[in-house]
Amino acid sequence: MRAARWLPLLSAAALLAAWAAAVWWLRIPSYLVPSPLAVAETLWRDAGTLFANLIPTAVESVAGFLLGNFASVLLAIAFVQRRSLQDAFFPIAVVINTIPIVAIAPILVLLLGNDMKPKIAIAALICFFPTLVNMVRGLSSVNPRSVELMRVLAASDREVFFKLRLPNSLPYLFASLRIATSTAVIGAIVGEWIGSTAGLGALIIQATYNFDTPLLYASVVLASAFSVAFFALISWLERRIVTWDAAP
Amino acid sequence: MNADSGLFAPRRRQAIVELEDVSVEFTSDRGSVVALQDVSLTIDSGDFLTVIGPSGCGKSTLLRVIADLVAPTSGSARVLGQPPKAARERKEIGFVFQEDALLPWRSVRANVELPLQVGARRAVPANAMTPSQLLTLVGLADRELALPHELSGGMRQRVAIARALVTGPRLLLMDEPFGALDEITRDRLNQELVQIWQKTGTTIVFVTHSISEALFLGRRVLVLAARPGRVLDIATTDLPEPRRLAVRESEPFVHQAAMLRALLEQCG
Repeated sequence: MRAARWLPLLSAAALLAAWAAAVWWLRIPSYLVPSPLAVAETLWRDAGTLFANLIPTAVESVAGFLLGNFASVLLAIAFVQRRSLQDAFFPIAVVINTIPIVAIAPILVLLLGNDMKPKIAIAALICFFPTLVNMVRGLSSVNPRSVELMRVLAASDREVFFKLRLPNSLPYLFASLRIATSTAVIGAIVGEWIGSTAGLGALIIQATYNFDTPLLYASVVLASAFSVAFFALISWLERRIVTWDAAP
Repeated sequence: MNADSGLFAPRRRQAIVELEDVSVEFTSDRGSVVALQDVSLTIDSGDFLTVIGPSGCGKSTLLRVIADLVAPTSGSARVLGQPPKAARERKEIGFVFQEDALLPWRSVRANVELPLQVGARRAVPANAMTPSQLLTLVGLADRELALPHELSGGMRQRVAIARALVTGPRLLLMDEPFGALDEITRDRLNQELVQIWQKTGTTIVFVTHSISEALFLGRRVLVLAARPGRVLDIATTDLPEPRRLAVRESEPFVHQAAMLRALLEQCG
């Protein structure tokens, strides 16, 4: 293995060791900051509870990811086909994007009830805007020579879209999909904070109020591990699909 | 090769391109620019016309009028006796750009096949070369699965030439295709292009800013003056055939190059 591959593992191990040493030396109580060993122990002991709460969070974030990105890709296509549509609705999308997601979350819970629906909606909403912006860019930033080439070849609008614009947008799309993997999980967890009984977000709130700090940390570690796995999956997909040397 | 294609086959001289008093004016917020003024020109079948002139003389605009990418403001343009649009839609026109404009996600072979997959899928003429034959012709048969970013600039231009020829066009338009290449690659591609022209019998209009390239490739050289772009001279090159690179050191070549240079200096 190359040095660059195991160096991050080494530095992570060193940081964990420093954390464990600091907790032990300074005698920090477990309810304030648990030692990494205590967190690991909780991960093992409460694996059942943690896993049962990971499932709804995972379902919500993946569903929100799919829904939000699908909707924004469709809207981006409409924007690029009809410039007037973009002029009319893009400013509205910008304004909605400026509202903090934690402020929208209670509104969506009120509107959609207390099951998975509002969490999915929040995850979808958080993915929506970056993908919309990137997809519009990807579909419109085609090489002008390629556009002329398609014209010389008498290509129809449909052919220009499917053979030029859509493939051209894929690197831009994947750039925002990679970011959306982690934001979708954040969206689902924020949704679960507002009156929910299941999910890692609910577990985080419960553990905090019960001063069960090792469980709180274990929930955070699990949420982060899920994000990393989701990110790795999309990156793998990207490497399989975007095989060419792409600009962004 | 089909018997009735190629340079030495008997073929009735036919006007491939006819321009009559073509003017092109571009208007923008900051005023208007006359890119071409009253350009009249006939290009016969089998010709290799090179177009040279100072920058801003409308060389590229001339090609774009013929390819129906720019509409003339006044005057008329005809390709194969019809408006350029008809020739373009029947894929009688091949175009090679300065930047190769290959689609980066398509393999070499898929790029060459693109013209057969879009637009009206008219029957490709029987004497047109297949993608495989064209890739062999440009010397890239063994790289057909490579992606464009894996190729050198010279190889990418070879792919662009193969792509432009895949529909068996009667007319090949080339807009400074070798302008961005190093001199050695450029020399080699110049020689290859002469061979391709002789093998396919395609009429070629080739825009360049290199005097030596214009003379070496062109059977006729069109000299344009700038601002507004207009025809200064159409000279027939008189050089021994077949042309090899060494011809550029010969006395007639040097003499004609000097005349061209003088003509270009005079028009500023």
